[in-house]
Amino acid sequence: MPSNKIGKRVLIFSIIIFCGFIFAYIFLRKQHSATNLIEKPQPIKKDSSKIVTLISEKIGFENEANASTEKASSGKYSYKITQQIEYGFGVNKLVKDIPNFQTLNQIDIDLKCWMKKKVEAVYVLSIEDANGKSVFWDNKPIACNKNEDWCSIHFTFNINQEAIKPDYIIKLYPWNKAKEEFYIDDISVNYLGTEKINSSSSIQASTANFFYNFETNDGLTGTESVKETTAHSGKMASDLSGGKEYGPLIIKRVSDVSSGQLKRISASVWVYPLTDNSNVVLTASISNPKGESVFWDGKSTDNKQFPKNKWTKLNASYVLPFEKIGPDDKIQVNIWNKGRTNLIIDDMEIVYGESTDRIGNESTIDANTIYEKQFVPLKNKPPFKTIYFTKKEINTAAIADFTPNDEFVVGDFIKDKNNLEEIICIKDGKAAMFQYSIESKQFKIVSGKSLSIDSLIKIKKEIDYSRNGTFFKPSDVVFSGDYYGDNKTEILNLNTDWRFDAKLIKQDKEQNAILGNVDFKGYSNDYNPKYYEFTKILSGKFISSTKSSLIVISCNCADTDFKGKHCNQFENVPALPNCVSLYSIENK
Amino acid sequence: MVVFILFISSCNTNNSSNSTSLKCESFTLQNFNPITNWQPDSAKHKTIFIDYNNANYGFIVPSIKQLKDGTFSCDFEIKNNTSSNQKFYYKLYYQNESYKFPELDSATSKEHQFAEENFYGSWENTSTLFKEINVNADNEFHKIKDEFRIVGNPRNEERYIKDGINNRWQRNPRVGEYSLMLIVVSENDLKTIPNYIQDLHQKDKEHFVNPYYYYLFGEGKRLKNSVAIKSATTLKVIAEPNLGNGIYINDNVYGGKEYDKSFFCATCGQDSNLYNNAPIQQFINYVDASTKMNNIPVVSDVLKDNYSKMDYNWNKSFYTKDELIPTIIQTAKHPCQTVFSDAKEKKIIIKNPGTAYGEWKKESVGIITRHGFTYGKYRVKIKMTELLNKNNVWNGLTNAIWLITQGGGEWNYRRNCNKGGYQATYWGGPNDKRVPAVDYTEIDFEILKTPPYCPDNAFPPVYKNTLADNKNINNWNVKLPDEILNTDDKVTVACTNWDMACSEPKNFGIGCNPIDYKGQTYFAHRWDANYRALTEKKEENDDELFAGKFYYFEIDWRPTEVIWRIGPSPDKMREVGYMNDKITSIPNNQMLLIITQEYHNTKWWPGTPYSQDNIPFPANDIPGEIYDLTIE
Repeated sequence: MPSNKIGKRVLIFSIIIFCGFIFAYIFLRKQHSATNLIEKPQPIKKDSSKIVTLISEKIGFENEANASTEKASSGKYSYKITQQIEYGFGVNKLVKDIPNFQTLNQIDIDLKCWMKKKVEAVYVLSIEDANGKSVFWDNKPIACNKNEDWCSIHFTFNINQEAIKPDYIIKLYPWNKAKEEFYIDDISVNYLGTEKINSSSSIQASTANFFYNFETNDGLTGTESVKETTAHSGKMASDLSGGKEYGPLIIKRVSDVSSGQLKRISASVWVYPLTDNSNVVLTASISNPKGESVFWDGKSTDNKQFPKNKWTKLNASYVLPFEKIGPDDKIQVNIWNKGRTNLIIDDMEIVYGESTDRIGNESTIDANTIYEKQFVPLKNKPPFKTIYFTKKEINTAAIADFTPNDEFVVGDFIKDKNNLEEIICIKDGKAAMFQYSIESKQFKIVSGKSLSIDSLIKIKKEIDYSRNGTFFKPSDVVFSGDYYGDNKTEILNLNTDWRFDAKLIKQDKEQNAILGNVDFKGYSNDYNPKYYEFTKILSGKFISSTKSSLIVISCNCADTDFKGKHCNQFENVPALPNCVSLYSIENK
Repeated sequence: MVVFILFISSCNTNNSSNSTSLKCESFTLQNFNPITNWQPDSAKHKTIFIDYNNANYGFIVPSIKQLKDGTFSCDFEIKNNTSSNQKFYYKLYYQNESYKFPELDSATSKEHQFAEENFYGSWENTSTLFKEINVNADNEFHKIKDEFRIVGNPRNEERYIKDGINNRWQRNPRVGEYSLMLIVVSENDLKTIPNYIQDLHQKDKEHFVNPYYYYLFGEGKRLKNSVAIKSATTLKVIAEPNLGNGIYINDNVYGGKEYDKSFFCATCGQDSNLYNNAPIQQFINYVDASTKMNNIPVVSDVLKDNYSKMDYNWNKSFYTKDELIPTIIQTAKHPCQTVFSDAKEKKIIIKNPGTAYGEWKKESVGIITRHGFTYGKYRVKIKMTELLNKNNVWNGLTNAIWLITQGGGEWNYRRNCNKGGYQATYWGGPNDKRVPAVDYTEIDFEILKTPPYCPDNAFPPVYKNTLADNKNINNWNVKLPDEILNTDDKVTVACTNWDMACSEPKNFGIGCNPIDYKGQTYFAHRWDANYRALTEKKEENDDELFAGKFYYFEIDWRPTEVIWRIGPSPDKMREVGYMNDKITSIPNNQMLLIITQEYHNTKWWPGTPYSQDNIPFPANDIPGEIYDLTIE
């Protein structure tokens, strides 16, 4: 009966909307950004500190007096621990010799070991005070996964910070408890601490790169020469005709443009000589708060090809005496018309410092293992393999207005012949359900299907975080699904604190194992989801009942203070237009 | 069969160049035919291709395969002008004319100081001085027949003799055109010819004297009863090795260590056929310790995977240090795995191997010739890998076609540097020891993505700083400077001569210095006075050089200049680099040709927009094909 059908539809939609509001309420209360996830602890303040290597030591035994030539993992020597040696080669470090030792909280050791059979030896960390009294002691078993061959061993010692005093000494050594015979080689010790990051120490690229087209006087001093004239761009330029000796001056405090050591300034300016033989100098100088000169250098157009009545660019790069430069020093970049000939300058660019160094600890990979084709990845340690999700060419028009601000619920709400999962999108307090049609290869708004509340509950799958604690972070978004379609469930862990960092994880009884980094392919141009500023992932069996896929909502945000959680003003960047796409792993 | 004889005589007043005979008081010569048994139909210009078979001990022109006895036959006719039977004496000389210093220094009217370096010779046995001929006083011409061949070390210099073995290969015959000169003298005149002219092995005051100078410009010109005929018939010697004749593997490049020989095959390996006849050897790059780098852990086919500048920028910014792969540039561990000689198509294929997770390697690949030359116009027809993809992102490879010293130490020393000396080693720093002579020489084509240094107003490019901030694309996806983007689809052809910082050339300079050649101005750049190499750069379209079926590259190495040319065909070559002995020390020792697709540490190339450690490892093999090599 038609009236009955209409009634059912109204009822279903009422339930959907009702459920939507319930979930919207839950999500808003939790301030969570995605919904087909598992409840997580509140995130800590992002990037408030990072782990850094304070100092590293490497011992290859090539120059050690007691080294053995019988075996070597690399080079010609190793250290042989014989039945007569109970305490083997020690690495001793005075705490005060470690830079920023106050933050020392971990020591990582990598070494190579060769043993005929399993030994009962341990590797010891001992911290002793100035009188030789032990204040901290820990040990780790020296265990190889193979006999009569070199194996890689990694130890992590967490240190009680109370055991760290400048005069204390850190001792690391193998303890041959059962007095057996084995060899060690290529010891690498990393002393790890933390480095705080806050807004004042993290200089944005935008505060290191400057461009002055002289259309406004912002950031400039000494702008008397700037006027409407022949210009390289716009209408305004600095006209140094009539014997004018100095052009506009740019003054910056070192701490405003660099958080660390300022090692270089690069600059360029366009020059338009009105006569032959111009001699204009692009200068950079630094003075301390007392007004004393710390640095001066300049690059001149003299004896270079700067033909008159033609714009020619002058580039310069100055290596700075960073050890003499303090945060309160002033940097001046200036144009000096040394030859006092008539000329115009325009479009000045200044880059303070160099691109920031990569974060993280140094790689512990032994290059020799790669060359000798013996590289064995350490479990849950980078580098990981790359697992590609490939874009599916399906019609996503119906879900094209999804944004990462929206909330979503994914589940098998409707009993359909294909057993596909549906998406409930909650946007601006309103919910709508979408389902993929295998027949028409497109997503559609659902109508006339029954909704199972049980299925909504079913999606709250539990994952045992206690087993995964080694690599999960509080700000992670975690999905589960059968991404290979092999009837096994994997975990997909996404963290976007610092980058789009998605990892596929195999659930394991002992410890979950990272299978690889997730990346994408099959997209047009540069539209890789990981490049967008604001990306949200939905995981579900959207197009197959046996295999999970990802719907990736990729947007850029125009908010100047965008923090990655909510965007007030989306921005459709031509090179990276906002989009919604579906990706899945291609079967081999 | 001589159609034209240029004759120069001290005793004949009627020395018309059109004359076919030459007369002096005692005798008359005619019909000097320096090569009668090779290309008899081509009287004026004869051409011979060097035989590479069994040439390890030095080239012989002609080889026994080319002429039955392995010698050129020559003859001339002589008539006794006196009334009594006479003994006359003759000697035959040859000299490479294409790559020589002039015998006469016009400024001093003396022998050019480097004319002794010219490649000249006579009969192989230098103790055979002048040959005696008895000519009756019968007013008849008598035909004199002889033979000769061109061999290495024609002066039998001790410099190339070790343990009693004359290593003629260490001073191989030069390519190019040869002249032939016949000297006939009377018995009295013979007595006045110095021993160092009669015997080419001998020196005068520690120096050889070029016999062409002696007879044509020096004392020999004033001999009363002598005739010197420099034949107008020339012999052009060309080297065109058959690239399908295989690739030899030299154990020495593996330092005596055991290595995998499982890829050896009929056209690549060490069997006796390849040892004797292969013109090419696999080249293993010297890997400098400075090539150590921490590479991004990305394996991708930059050329085929639509790898973009945004990909590059993201990968540059968003990997942590512990994800990077510590590596150095690799060389072939399995000889014959990445180089192939195709006997059917007479070509060589080289491949930088693709790599995978856990293997992570950037492996340079290349080949080197086995037979050295001094000077020559080296032209290769080649299809090397494209360097830029359709997004103009660089794949990290440098295509190189270069000459390198054949090594060997003293026998292969370049000419002494008389002002400050040479840097002792090519790998040392600026404070390396200075020495008067070294054997290191190198002339390069290196083609890669890097900006020109000159003119230096726009160098170095000003690159904006980047910041790994995933909340703002503009902080990490930073645009390259205009001066880089303006030539986005171009690669730089860097032309370099390694002069080992010898400051003897008159216009030795540092920084950017212009040099004009055929209406073009080139800028030669040297970083500082201790820098060992002088480089000129020209930006060229990557697609034109490497996207077509093939392209030609030519190094024209001459005694006083080096010219670099490229072009789509041998008749459409254009200059891209020029240097002469006024600005750089031109090598004069024996060198080999190398062709490589190699990975460089971009720290060697300041200002390069793509850093090698931020370029992915190659996912697939990257092939290059060498079709022809001509040295002439």
